[in-house]
This record gives sequence, C-alpha cells and structure tokens, in this order.
Amino acid sequence: MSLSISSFSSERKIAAILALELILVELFIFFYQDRLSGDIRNIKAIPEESRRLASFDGIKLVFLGNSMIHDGVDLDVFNEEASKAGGTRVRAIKVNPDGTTIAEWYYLFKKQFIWTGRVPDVLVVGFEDDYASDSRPASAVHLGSMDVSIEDVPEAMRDEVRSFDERVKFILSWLLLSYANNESIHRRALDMVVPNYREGRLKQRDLNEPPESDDAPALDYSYSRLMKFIQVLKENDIKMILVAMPVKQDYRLDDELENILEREGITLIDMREYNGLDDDMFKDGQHLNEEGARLFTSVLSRKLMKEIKEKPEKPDTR
Amino acid sequence: MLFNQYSFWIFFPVVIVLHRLLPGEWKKRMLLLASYYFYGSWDWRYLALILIITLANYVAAARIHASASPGVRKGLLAGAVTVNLVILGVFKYYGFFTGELVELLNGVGLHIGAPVLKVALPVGISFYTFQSMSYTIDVYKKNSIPAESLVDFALFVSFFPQLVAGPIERYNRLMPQLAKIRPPRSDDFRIGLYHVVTGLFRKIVIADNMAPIVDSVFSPHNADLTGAEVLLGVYCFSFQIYCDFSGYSSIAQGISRWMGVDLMYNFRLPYFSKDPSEFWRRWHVSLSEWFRDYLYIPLGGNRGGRAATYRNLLVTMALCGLWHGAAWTFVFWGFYHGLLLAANRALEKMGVLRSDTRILSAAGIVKIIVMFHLAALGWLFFRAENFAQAVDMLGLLVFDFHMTDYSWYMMGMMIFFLAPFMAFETWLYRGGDMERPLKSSWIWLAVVYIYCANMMYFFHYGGNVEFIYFQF
Repeated sequence: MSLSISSFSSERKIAAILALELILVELFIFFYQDRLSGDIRNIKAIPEESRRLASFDGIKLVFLGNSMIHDGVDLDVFNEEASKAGGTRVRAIKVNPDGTTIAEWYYLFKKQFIWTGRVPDVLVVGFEDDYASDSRPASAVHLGSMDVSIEDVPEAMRDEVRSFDERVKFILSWLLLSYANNESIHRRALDMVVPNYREGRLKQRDLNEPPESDDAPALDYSYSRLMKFIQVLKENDIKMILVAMPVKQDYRLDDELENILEREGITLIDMREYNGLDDDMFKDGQHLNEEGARLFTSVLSRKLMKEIKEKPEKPDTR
Repeated sequence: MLFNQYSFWIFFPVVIVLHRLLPGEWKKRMLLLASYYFYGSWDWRYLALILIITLANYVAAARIHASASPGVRKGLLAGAVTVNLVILGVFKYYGFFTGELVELLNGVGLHIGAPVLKVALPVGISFYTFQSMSYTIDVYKKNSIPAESLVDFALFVSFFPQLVAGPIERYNRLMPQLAKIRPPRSDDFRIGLYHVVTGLFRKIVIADNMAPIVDSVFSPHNADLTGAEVLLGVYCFSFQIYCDFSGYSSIAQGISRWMGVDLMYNFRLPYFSKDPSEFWRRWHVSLSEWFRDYLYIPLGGNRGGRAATYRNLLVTMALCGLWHGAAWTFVFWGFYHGLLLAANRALEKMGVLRSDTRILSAAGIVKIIVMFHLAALGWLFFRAENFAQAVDMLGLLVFDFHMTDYSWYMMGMMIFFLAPFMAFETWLYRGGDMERPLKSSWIWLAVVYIYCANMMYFFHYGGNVEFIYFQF
C-alpha cells in the first residue's frame, strides 16, 4: 500500500474527493439552507415579506438593524399599539441580519426594497454606539452573500471591500453558498458539541471588548455611509427614523451624528436610557429578552406613531 | 502580506512561475526583488534597515576574510555586531530600557525625562539581524567563507519565506542552496504541499481559534476569573503559540521546498519532550541552536565546572527571553527556562533523572505531562501583561480553582480543536517521522488532508489574527 514519496497520485485522488465534497455540500446547502440558522431563514424570507408589505394599502414600515432589532422589536406589540393609535393603518416588517452595521443595512435595503421597487414609506433603523458610523468595517462575506445586488457591486468594491483579500472573500461568498454560510455551519456544529457555546461566545466577546472609560477620547466618527443612505431614501421619498437602542452599558452619541440628523431632517428617537427597562430585561449586555422587548416596543411604537402620522401619503409604488 | 492571506497566494504563484522560467542568476535576482517586495508590503521604509544590515555584514565579512591581522579582524567583527545590535536595540529595546532607566532614576530622586522614540517594531527584525550576525561571526571564526556576490548575500538575508519569522538559518546551510538553486525534484511538490497544508491548518484552525479564548482569560477586564479558567487559558495559549509559530515555519518550509530550497525543521513535536533539555531541542530549534553556538559556548558552555555551567545557562536563557520582547516578563520566562535546564542538569548529574529513549512508556508519558506543565507555567508569564497579573493568576490557580460555565465552554473548544490535532501529533511521534503521512497508505494522507481542508474551510476564525512571532 505504501507509495513512493515522489508520486502525487494520492494528492490527485484527494483533490477529486474534495471537489466532489464541495459540490455535494453546495447542493445540500442549496436545499437545506433554511435549517442552518434562524438568521438565514429570516434573510431568505425578506423578498416574500417585502412583496406582501408592498401590497399593503396603509403605511408600510420597515424595521432595519441587527440582532438588537430582532430581539428588541416585537411586531405583535407594535401592531397592537399602531391599531390603538387609530388613523391610517400601519404594517411593519423586520429586516435584521445578525452581526451587521450601517454598511450592510444600506446595501441590503437597496437590494430588497429599492431595486425591487417595493419601496416602504418609513424606515426605522435601530443602532447602538458607533454602528451608524463608518468606524466599523463592513463584512465582505455578509456583503457578498446577501446584501449587495449586482447593480451595487461596483459601489461596494469602491467603498467597502477595498483590499485584495476582502474582494476575494466578497467574490467567494457571492459564488459559493458553502463559503457564504460557513460561519453558520461553524456555529451550529460547535453549538451541538461544545457545552455553553452560545453563552461562552458572548462572554468571550464581551471580555475582548474593552469597556468604554470616562477618560476615553472624544468620539470622532465619519458618516459617509449614513449620508449615502439618507440620499437614497430622500430620492425615493422614504421617511427615515433612527433609534438609539437600549443596552446595559451606556454609550455616547457624538455631536457629528446629531448635526447630520438635524441638518437632514432625520428624527432620532433616543431610547438609550429608557428608565422602565431593568437589567433583568436583557439576555446579555445588548439584547432584550421577551419582557424587555414588549416594554421597549410599546414605548417605541407610541413615539413612532407620532412621527409616522406626520408622513404625507404618497403614490402606490407596486 | 501574510501566508494566510489570499494576496500571498497570488504573489507566490507569480514568483514560482518566474522561478521555473528564469535562468540561474536571474532566478536569484527575481527572488531578491520578490523578497524586498514581500517585506516592503508591510512598510517599504523598513527596507532601508535590511539594506543597511546586508551591506554592513557583507562588507565586514569580506574585510575580515581578507585581513590577516587579528586586531583588525576583531575590530571589524565588533563593528558589524554593533551595527546589528544598535539597529535591533533602537527599534526594539530603546523604549523599554529608557523607560526603566527613567523609573530607576526617579526612584532615587533624580527626575529626568528621556527622548521618546515612537516607531513601530519592524516586522521580523530579530530574525534577520540574528541570521546576518551569525554569518559575520562564522566568517570571523573561519567556519565560513564570504559570499561570492552581494546579490547572493542579500538573498540569504532577505529570502522571503523565512524573512519575518524564521527559521533563523545558518549561512553554511542556506547559502549553498541559494547560490546554486537546484533543479526541481519529483518529491518537491508533494513534500511542500504537506508542509503548507499542515502549517496553514495549525495557524488558521488551531492558533486563531485559541486566540480569542486566550485574550479573554488574559483580559485586564476579566474580574471574575477562576483558577480553572486560568489553567484552561494557559493550555489554550500553549497551543496557540505553538501552532501559530510552528504553522508559520511549516508553511515557510513548504513554499521554500517548492522553490528547491530545504529549510530546517524549526519545531519537532515539542510538547512530547520529556525534559527541559529535550524541549529546547524540539522548540524553536533554530533559535536555541543560535544561542547555544553564539552565546552559551562562547561564555564557556559546560567547560568551566558546575557553577559556571549553571550561570551560562541562566545568562543565555535570560537573553533568549529578552530576544522575544522588551519586557521583564520575557526575561523572567527565559530565566525560568534557564533554571529548568540547570535543575535538569543537576538532577541528571545526581542520577535522579535518567535519559529515556523509549517512545511512549508509562514513565515517559508522566515525564511528558510534567514537562508540558512546566512549559505551560512559563507561558503564563510569557503571555501575562505584567508580573502582577501573572502572580494574581497563579494565586487563582491555587486558591480559587472551580469549574464555571465559561470553563466548560473553554474545555469544549479545546477538545473540539485540539483532540484530533494531538492524536495526529501522537501518531507522528510514535512513528518517529515528521513526514509519516507521506510514507503511509494514501488513505491516511487523505484523512489528514480532507480533515485539514474541511476545518480550514468551515472552522477558520473570522477575525484577523497576525502571526504572534512577527512582533519578535
């Protein structure tokens, strides 16, 4: 059985096995992608939900953000509060891919709502800390796998995925389902075999992010992504509302963000320190539990309804 | 440009194609330019350092060789060594030593300031200064003859696979291979691929996945750390640093092999060592040989009696610690290994410890476990932010040892990532052959490659983690 060390027929066989495996994995993920994670299920559901929203007669609202919106906004509570408010009917959907920031939200929104023509009336973007600024790098894998439509690829390459390595990741995740989803596969597998995996990961992340200190330097962020986003929304007559989300640890909003929002006429609902939320209404440092979500959503809904009612009707875009 | 970045895998095929197409002298010139491009991709300004070190050692060695006067020869050697050490000292140790000096003077009431020098540590500076210095010393000791051309020598200093993290190759081993690059052999591809795949696996899968766990344990914000978490954190760091560094060395060995150059094994299953002496014959072999040949032996080695031998071991290892970084924790780590080596030597002389050449006997397994824990204890000081943290952690290990949810998570991650890897290393160790899969049935090689490929594809760590040894 032993082979000569100079023969590489074994490597050829192994390469063929790996190629076959990749094809099978691609097919498996193509058919069973939904089962990999709730996040993927939610993302795959966006086209259908946006289609249904577009066919709605009243005010169409989209909550956009990451897992903080996913966990923090309870659509049943929102609908209840919206119906209590009377007047024009409001329907809302949530778009909240995990681990994303303003860059991913911008491209995802364009792909799912602008390029498809299913334009909502109101966009509510939930963020914390510096998530609305340019300070956080966009994930090339996120952008490639779900966020960027073909029309926006040149823009994404120019503004977001600039290094060679990031571009390769972007293209691979655009081409290969297994590459785009390997983080979900990774997490799901580890969740099955590693005790306390989810809690451990969260604790690990918290420990590796130094807490903000009082003597930290003043915030100095830029907001080119937010500005692009505002421009696109204005061109499509969509009202934007930003929500500073509540988290356990206080964070600051910098003056530049508030200046931009004031100048552009964007409403900021500051929910950072809503006093009714106790620490035990959080699952971890950032995410609300069900009780917290119900309370947060009811307060937010009342504030939103005041803003939405000021929104004039616009022609049906279906 | 890092070995685990896609950009390297565009750069390298271009180099290998040119390497195959170009004739001898042009091949060397191309490799030299490629090496400078590789190094310049971090910061082109630091290319000046490599050029200065190259010229200083090249000229000094040529003059030393040409001179018959012992005084002139010694003066030239001292000059060349000074140039190397001044460059290393300014860029790596200036801040540390001036800081310590100012603190010392402040302590005795002399309040002075020192000029601040804020420069990023040039990548790999410790490696190429040591490699260049060894050449000049070898020529001085008449162990080597000077390089035939400046291009040859410049390539010896900057050969890109081992430029930034070693192995620190000796002139007599590497130079003949670079001066006359051999034609490709039929086993080059196969052996090179094995080193590259297993090296990338160690870096991307093991080291990078251990890194965030280690960072969380050694985080200064970790207020509710327990002894169990410290122990598991130190285990994780032991494997992080091993796989990070040995992974780099292995990839360097593989890509060099594809270019017809055989680099040495820098790591030979170090965690299977049964005593401190064996550990240093298996861990960072090129550095430990460098310190043995250029410091320990010139200091007198073991020729001056027991006390002198122990002193030489302690001095050599403390300086070896300092080589790793400008901090007292590194010096202590080196000194600690010096103590282990001295104690091991003393126990051997007393007949308490006997050399055990059996591969895996019961006593051997116990020795391996003990030696691993001695090495791990050293890593605690090596990784700690400062002495106070290391001492606090040791206190937790002794006085607050209990399992927590987080320690179960850490243990689960360790078992998932490390158990198959350690099984593989045990198999290599039992076979006594680092290239055992290549000489076994293709099924074993397939198991290794398919496992590595799947783990690298699905279980690579998403964040950016640089190679640890680049900072040294």
